Parts: sequence; C-alpha cells; structure tokens
Amino acid sequence: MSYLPKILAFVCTYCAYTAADMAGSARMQYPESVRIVQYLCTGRIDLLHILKAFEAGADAVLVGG
Amino acid sequence: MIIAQRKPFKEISEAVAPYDKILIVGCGTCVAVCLAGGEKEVGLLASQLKLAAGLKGRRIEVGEITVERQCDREFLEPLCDFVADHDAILSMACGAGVQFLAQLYYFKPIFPAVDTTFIGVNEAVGLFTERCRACHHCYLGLTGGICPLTMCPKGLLNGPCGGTLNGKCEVDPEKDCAWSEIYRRLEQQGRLDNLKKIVPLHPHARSTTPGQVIHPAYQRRYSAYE
Amino acid sequence: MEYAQYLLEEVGLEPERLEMYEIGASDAPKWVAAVQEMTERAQALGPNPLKQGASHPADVLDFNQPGEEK
Repeated sequence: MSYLPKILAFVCTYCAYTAADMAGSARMQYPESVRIVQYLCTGRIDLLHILKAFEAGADAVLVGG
Repeated sequence: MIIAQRKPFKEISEAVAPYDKILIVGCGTCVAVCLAGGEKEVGLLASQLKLAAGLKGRRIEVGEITVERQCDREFLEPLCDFVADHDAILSMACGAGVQFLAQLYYFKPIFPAVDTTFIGVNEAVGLFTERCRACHHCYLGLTGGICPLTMCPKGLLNGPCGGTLNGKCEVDPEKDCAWSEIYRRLEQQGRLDNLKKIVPLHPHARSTTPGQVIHPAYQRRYSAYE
Repeated sequence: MEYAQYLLEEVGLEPERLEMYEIGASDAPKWVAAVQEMTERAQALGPNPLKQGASHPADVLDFNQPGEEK
C-alpha cells in the first residue's frame, strides 16, 4: 500500500522545531507527510490534543521535544 | 475527599452503545482532584467515545459539561437544557452524584463512568489512600489521629492484636499495623494512658443504610409543618 | 505517553500511531529520521480508519491548508 499518510507533528519551539527548521535550511529531504504544530514547550501538549488529532483523521502523531 | 477510578473504556462504551447523543457530566470536586472525573477526564472520555464510534462507522454526538458538584441540587438544576438535548447521561461523579443526577433527571437513562472506591486523601499527585470508613462514630481523639477502623486491616478498636510483626500486619505483610503507629504516636505525645481505656463495641447499628443527618436548623425550620 | 497510547488502544486504534521523540535543537538528521519512521509506520498501518467514507465525521478539520494541492 502506498499512500501519503498525514502525520501531525507536535513540536517544541526550542528543540524539534529548530531541528526541523535546520533540516529545511540544510536542504535535507524528508517525506512531505508531516504537518507541524508548534508549541512553546512540549509540556503544553495535552492528551486531548493528541486524541483530537486522531479524531480529525491524522494517520499518526509525532511528538518531538 | 471521595476517591474514584475511571471504569475501563470497554464497560463504558458497551453501556452507552445504544445511544447516539450522550451527555457526559463531570464533577469538579473530589473526582476531579483524584483524576477520575473532572473536566479533563470528561474531555478525554468524550474524545475516546467519538473515536471508538467512528471506528465502528457510527457518528455520535457527545456533550461535555462539568459542574462544581453533582451532590448538590443547585448545580444540577441548570443542566436541564443539556439533559433534554441528549439521549443518555454518563456521569463521572461518585455514586452519590450519579444517584442525585438520576433522581433529578429520572426520565433519562444514566450510566456511571467511574467506580467510587473510598474516602481518602491525596497523598501525592496520583497516589490516593483510604483514611475514613464513614462509620458514624469517630475515635480519632483517643487514638492520636489514626483511625483504628480504617487503618487497621482488621478494624480492631482495642489493639494491637497478636498479629503485629515489625510494625506490619499479619493479614498482609505489605500493610502497616495501625496499632503500632497509634502506640508510637501516643508515646510521642505522652498520652499512652489512652491505650488503657477500653473502647466499647462499635455502634454498627448506626451505620444502617441509607444514613441521614438532619441539622437542628433544618429541623426547627421544617418541623412546624409536620 | 504510555497513557495516551493506552487510551488509543482502548478505543481500538493502533498505539504505534503515536510516538514521542527527543530531538535536540541542532539535531536535524534525527528529525528527518523521525518523520521518515512515522511515515513508514503510518504506511504500514494504513490510513486512519476514521477517515474512510461514511464514518468520516462531518466536523473533522481538514489538515490541508488553504491553497494546498493534495
């Protein structure tokens, strides 16, 4: 099966978001399946946010912090 | 505070399976503190129910509302519009709250979403331990603030028994011997004399359910009409 | 995190759909690897069953940003 999944990434501004930003500026290739939601801190992420993401049809959720 | 535990999701979802519009009513007092039925848990349960229904190809409506206390009429009465809009109620309050809600909205099916366990304390976030059996007669003044009925696994009023070993109980070596604790505390306070007092039989007859407490003021106000 | 995975499992979603990664601010390759791994996992598991046909809740949010071609 080959489809492009929709992955919601909950990321922290200071770690994973910076890393993603850097990946972009370094022109690194990665799947365009990911949609980034930027948090000020991973600690803000709530179970409810994750469940809501699945409710809304996300194929996977990545938490990066 | 009343301690409760969320029921397994399977049990809840099976109970409300026939209904398409479910109102989840949380309780913002005891069960919110013990992380079982507060506003946040209501949100999580609603989300879970919607996800589970979606996976089965059903579409359900889940209403969420959390009141201050479900054991008080004044907080339940404003719910009537919400209740009217839904087919079933899922209450996340303790047994008392569920029953009071059911009494007020007797025409709607109601289901509990938590198992009420005991009256206890919030020892640390996520750790709740029992302290009181609501036995109608308090001995705490005599025992240095340690309840012999609740904290002693055997519920002995005139302890300790012969089964205490290194401060643990013979019933379960994991459990502390309440009477060893009581002895140590009374010794510390210089009140060991208390141990010589023989406590008479516990008035179990008072604990006949359902209990009732009538405040003198209430009595004065309403007895004239009887 | 385990609790969230447990919640998903309870309702019948695969807990593997959720993962947490520790990614340092300067760790771009790790970010790329994480995204790749999640993409592979999601491809292996198939689409989110909630998205299909009639079961699709009418009030779902659309992930596609306006103007995005998908």
